[in-house]
Amino acid sequence: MKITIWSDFVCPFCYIGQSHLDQALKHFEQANDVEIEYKSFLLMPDAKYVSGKSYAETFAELKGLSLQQAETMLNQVVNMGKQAGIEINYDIAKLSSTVDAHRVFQFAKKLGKGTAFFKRFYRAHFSEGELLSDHDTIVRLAREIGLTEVDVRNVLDDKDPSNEMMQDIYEAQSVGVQGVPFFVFNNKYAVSGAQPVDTFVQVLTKVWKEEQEKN
Amino acid sequence: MKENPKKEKHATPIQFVDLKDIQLNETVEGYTCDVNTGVCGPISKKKEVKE
Repeated sequence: MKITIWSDFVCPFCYIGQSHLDQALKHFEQANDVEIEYKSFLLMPDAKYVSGKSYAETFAELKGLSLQQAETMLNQVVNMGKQAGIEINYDIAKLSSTVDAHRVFQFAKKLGKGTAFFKRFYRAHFSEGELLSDHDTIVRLAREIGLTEVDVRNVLDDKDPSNEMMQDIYEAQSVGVQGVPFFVFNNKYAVSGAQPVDTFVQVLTKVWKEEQEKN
Repeated sequence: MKENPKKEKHATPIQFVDLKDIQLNETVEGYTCDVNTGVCGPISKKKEVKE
């Protein structure tokens, strides 16, 4: 079974959705036969980290929300993260563009490290307060999952946007993706959003059964 | 699920010939970040299965 996931490192429900999917896979006997492919999506390409501004302030300004609206949304996300078993700490998180991180992700994906890259960068953003637009930070995090500094800096020094990244975004648009995370099972069934664990278990079971009936 | 690099696909062009929402319960609730506004929150929609 193949699962394709469009996501961004700064998308909280992508992080929560990934946790839910991982939990669902623990209840799924055929988990070892599941392939996962992450695809790039830029949720806030214009985001820019401003030292001294809170995450809520930056987010509110970027999206035209009141500070109260932004804080309410972020508090809800923090609580949902706790329920999903992940730490989301907006007191230290730094909102920034993820374009360069996605360019390196595309390189990591070619080496079979795409999923590891996503998981490391989610945690770096939401739990560790790392600045994902900073090249030294990207290099350090990428090295942790087995990439070399030389390779990562070569990608970062290449100013052209990644064709693969743009292709992912184009595909999302052509499919009509309205929100991320966006999951596609076996290139056929779409599931939008961070669904409960039980829902993912249902989907995995249903798609698996269909796959077996065809074979 | 084991992390298996060999199984990870590399920028595979997807052919969404028959993409449709999966049929589960009548409504599926989840949480998403809107790609246009960037705002994150609950979604709840009537499933419309494209056959």
